[in-house]
Amino acid sequence: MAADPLAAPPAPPASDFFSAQDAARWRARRWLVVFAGCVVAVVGVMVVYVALVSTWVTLAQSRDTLPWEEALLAAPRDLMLGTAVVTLLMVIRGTWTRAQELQHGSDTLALSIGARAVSASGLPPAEKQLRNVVEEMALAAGGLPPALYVLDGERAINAFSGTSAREPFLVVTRGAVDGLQRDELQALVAYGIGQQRNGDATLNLRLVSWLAGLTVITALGRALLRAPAFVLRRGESGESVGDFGKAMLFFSLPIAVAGGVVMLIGAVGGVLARFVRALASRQRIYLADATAVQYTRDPVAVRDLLRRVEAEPDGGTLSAAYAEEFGPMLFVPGVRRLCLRTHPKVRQRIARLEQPVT
Amino acid sequence: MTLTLWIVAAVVVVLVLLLWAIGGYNAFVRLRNRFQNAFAQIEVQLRRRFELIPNLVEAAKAYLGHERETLTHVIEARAAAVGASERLAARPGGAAELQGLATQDAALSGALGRLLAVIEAYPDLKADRTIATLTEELTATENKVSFARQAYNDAVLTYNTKVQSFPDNVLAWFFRFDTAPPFATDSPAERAPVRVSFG
Repeated sequence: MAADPLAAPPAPPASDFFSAQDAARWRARRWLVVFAGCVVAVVGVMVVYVALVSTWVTLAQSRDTLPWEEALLAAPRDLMLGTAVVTLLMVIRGTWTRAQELQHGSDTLALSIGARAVSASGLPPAEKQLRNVVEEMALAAGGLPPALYVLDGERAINAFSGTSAREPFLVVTRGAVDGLQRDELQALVAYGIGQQRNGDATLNLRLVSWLAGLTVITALGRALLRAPAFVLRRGESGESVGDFGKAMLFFSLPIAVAGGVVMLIGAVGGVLARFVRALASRQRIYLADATAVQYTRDPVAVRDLLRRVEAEPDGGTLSAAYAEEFGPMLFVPGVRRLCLRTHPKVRQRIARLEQPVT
Repeated sequence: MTLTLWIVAAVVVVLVLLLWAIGGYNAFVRLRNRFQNAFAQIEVQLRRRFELIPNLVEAAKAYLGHERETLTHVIEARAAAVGASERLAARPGGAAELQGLATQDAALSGALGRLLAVIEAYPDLKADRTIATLTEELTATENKVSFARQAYNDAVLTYNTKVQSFPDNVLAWFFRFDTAPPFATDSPAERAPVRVSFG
């Protein structure tokens, strides 16, 4: 078997990457449903919270003569419905705003994080090689090459891909351009193009937008929490804290408590959403690894690349803040984390590559 | 009563068959266009290689005067491949012509591979900036041809599997969709990927 070069590479199960793409799109939709579940959960918890507060107020007014079940039932329906609608609208608005920003902003996004566009001609040898490799892998994928950028400031070996309204793009770190053998660079580029072909870029755009939507709730909570501080600052700015000011301070305290609770709900929703994102993303990473093997027909190069990154002292960690938003679109995680990791461990990815195909 | 039931059942069966036939036909067309497009890409890459080779050989001559034989091989292989490509252009889709092109293409790849090996054998040459650029161009050109071929073969595989599987093969026979030939190479030397290290 091993003597025959054609039989040697264990071709990934999906040699038809077009139908793999369709399947990926379907899976993306499924994860969006789970994500929508997170949003519904957050809205539900908000409504329950409002109902509990209302129950508590009713009980206090009745001086504990009313049984709590009746107090709970007496909670005004309009208030609960209003809470649900307002929360949902806030999440949708936050999601929509972020999605618009990402869709229209991504053309310049690579540039805004300090990446430099790689021109078509007159390149130094290393970048000429990178451009050639990108063109080769685009041919293997049966499409056009993405817009190409290099992050000159990053010494780590990493890359990320994305898509914008205009075109897909691929950003490669300086460390990868300088430090990789040609076949390893090929594997890295094949991985990025594979992610784009698998529809991961679109999926990540949506997940990031939903995450932003849930963050709006946390932001609202934080704003409410600052209410007493706001009143106090007004007092300090010269106006004397009169009776009115004292009354304001008195009323602002429960608002702050409510804000704290809302913030907590938002934070729990955010963690839940990140958890779903991590679960979804890890499967996509395995798929992209398999797609890289399919394009390069060189599992050894993909494995060597992973081993090389693992051997690096900082293992592909990026120095900039964009590492978070592009999380799942990177080759290896840009930030070190203990939990909610977007990528499987490098060792597990190597193990999957070495699994015999049955 | 039973007659009406039979008629309804028959109409339903015919409708289902019709929908299946339409869906199947469209799938065949989509897959055929996909591999035809992939084939066009191979032709683009082959033409690009044909145009590039004279320049590359010219540049290499200055350094590899004593390896004239290797360079002559490349020139000859190119001429043969261009001829095969023109024959295929005259009769597109011909199995014999496609096979001829594949053979000549493999021979050309072999000749270019030997040229790369020769450059590898001279450490002084490897260090030269012009030669390094030349090697990169050669490798990229070879890779582009082989990756375009790989994408074509992937597309043909999907199409052929669909044409040959039951029950789609019945539709394929009815609408006259035939299996497509893969772009195969016979020479074992060609099967081994051209590897260039820049250590």
